[in-house]
Formats: sequence, structure tokens, C-alpha cells
Amino acid sequence: MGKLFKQHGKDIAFVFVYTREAHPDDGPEGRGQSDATGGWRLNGNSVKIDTHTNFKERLEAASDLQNAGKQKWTVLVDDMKETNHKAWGNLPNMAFLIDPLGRIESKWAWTTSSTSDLGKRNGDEGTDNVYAVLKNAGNLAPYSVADDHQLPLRDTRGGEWLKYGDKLVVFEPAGEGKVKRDGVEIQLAEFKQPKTAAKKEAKDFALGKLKLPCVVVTSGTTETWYCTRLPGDGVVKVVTAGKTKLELSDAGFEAGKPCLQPYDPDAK
Amino acid sequence: MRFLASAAALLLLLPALAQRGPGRASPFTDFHKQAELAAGQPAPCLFAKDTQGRVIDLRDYLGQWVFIEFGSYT
Repeated sequence: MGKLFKQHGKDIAFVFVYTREAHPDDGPEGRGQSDATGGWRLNGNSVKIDTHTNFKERLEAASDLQNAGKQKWTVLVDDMKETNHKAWGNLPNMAFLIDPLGRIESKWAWTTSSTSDLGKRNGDEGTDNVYAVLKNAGNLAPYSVADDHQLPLRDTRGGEWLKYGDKLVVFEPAGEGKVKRDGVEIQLAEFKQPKTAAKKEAKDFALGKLKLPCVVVTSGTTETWYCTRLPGDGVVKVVTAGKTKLELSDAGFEAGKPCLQPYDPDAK
Repeated sequence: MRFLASAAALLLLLPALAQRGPGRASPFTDFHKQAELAAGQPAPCLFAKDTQGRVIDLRDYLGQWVFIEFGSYT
């Protein structure tokens, strides 16, 4: 990851997701006593860490990892239910390259030990082809929903919904290059990256105790607030000539199941 | 009789052999077979706190390439 970051750190985002410790000092003695993807004690670990018992311990260990390695990339800390780790494949050293439309471009089952003989013996899948993929992608400059309002729609899955007061808007993917918003089919236009990034304003949308980070795009007298964390097109608020026409009250990624709840990483 | 006894023993051993044989699926094989994690599929949700305590969502990165690695300290 360090080599990749050195070459492309200015162009693409690098994220390390810190999970449970694979070889904690209080773990089982041998591989036979562990589960299928690891979790046994290694002799001679340079770093001594016991199994995390709560999110605070895990967060501290992740901070130590980041500081010790002087890593400049984003380090995310998985919750105690391993929600992210399980959703992405549950392997100890896997990696993914995600394209700008939120889709998987490539994946690797085992990467961390890519420079060691041990890794190669274990079936290491080197990430060398990342360089070729990125070279073929051409311009790597990031863009946003301010440049392409359809950007969140391309990542939409069936059943996603937004609620504005009494009005419920449901999203359904309709096939390649199309999506349905409340039953109306939208053709997703091929996006051409602008030569210069559009102007955008970052604002938080307050909903109860939640503060949703939004991008506010103004066109004439209409102000549209987009939050890419939400389902569908993520339109949170529309203000025309100073009057609020639409304002989000609830949302969900699955039918009938709200997603606007405070995040609790310690939940077990 | 001896043949029947051998055949019965083999039948009893078959489940164990199936688990230990070369055809046994490994977590790595399963990972590459998972349809929802295939190239071209929408990435799964990724929602977590960073080391500064900020909540980050993968959708915050829409519009740019992202390299994601999962792992631990040891």
C-alpha cells in the first residue's frame, strides 16, 4: 500500500480498514484452534496487542498503528460486530479498487505480505495491475455531485427510499445505464469529466441529532442539497426563490427500514 | 464379506475425506466466487469511524478512485 500511495496518493483515495487482530497475544496457540480465516497467536510479534474487547481499545490500537507507520492515508476502524469486514469478504488481508461510480474494479484476496516470501508462498495476489488500471483510466482528478448530479444514482440498489414529509420516493434499478425514481425511468447519461471542477458549497443538513454532510448546488434561484451518504440521488432539500420546496424527513437503503440513526460502533 | 466390510468402512470415511481433499473450498476461493463482490458490482456499504473519530462513508468518495485494504496490526 505504501508503494501505491507514494505513486498515486495525490490522485486517488487510500483507505485502510482496521479489523480484529489476526494474531493477538491472548489468541489460540495454533492455527487448528482458530477459525477459517485466522486468529491464532504468533511467536515474536513486534507489536503486542490483545484481542480488542471494546471499540475504544480498537480505536487506540488503530491510532498507534497509524502513528507507528506514519501512514498518511485514512484509517477506518471497523465496529465490534465486524460489520464492514464481513460485508466485504471477511479475509484478513484483502484489498479492493473502487471506481469513481462506486463499483468494484478489481479485488485481491491477500495483499499485505506482497513483499515477503511468506506472502508469495501463501498465494499472494500482487496488486501490480492497479498501476495499469489507473493508467488506462486516464484523468484521475476527482469530481463530485456538483459536476454530475446523477453520480449517486449510479450507485443505487433496489428498495432504496427517501421521505419528504408525507411523500415517499422509492428507487429501483431498471438495468444497465438506467434507474427508476418513484416509478419514473431515468437514463443515466455518460459522464464526461469536466476540465475544471464545478463550484460547490459544503453544508451540514441537521435532522434530529444527525448532521449529514451535503453538497449544495445553486442553479438560478434554485438551491439543491445533495447528501451522497443517502439512498438514491440523495436530494435532501430543494429551495426555490428562498422557499423550501422539499425537505428530507427519513431515508433507508432497504424497504421500510430507516437508516438515519446515530452510529454506534460498540454495538455487539 | 471382507469386500462388504471394506465398502462400508469407505462409505463411513467419505465425509471426512471430502472435507480434507484437494477439492475443499478455501476462504480465498469463496472470496473470488462471491457474485456480489465481482468486478462491476456496486461496492458493499462501508461506514465507519476514522482514527480522529469522524464518521466516514464510502459514498463520500463517489467521483474518485479508491484503494481499500482490510487488515490488522499483527
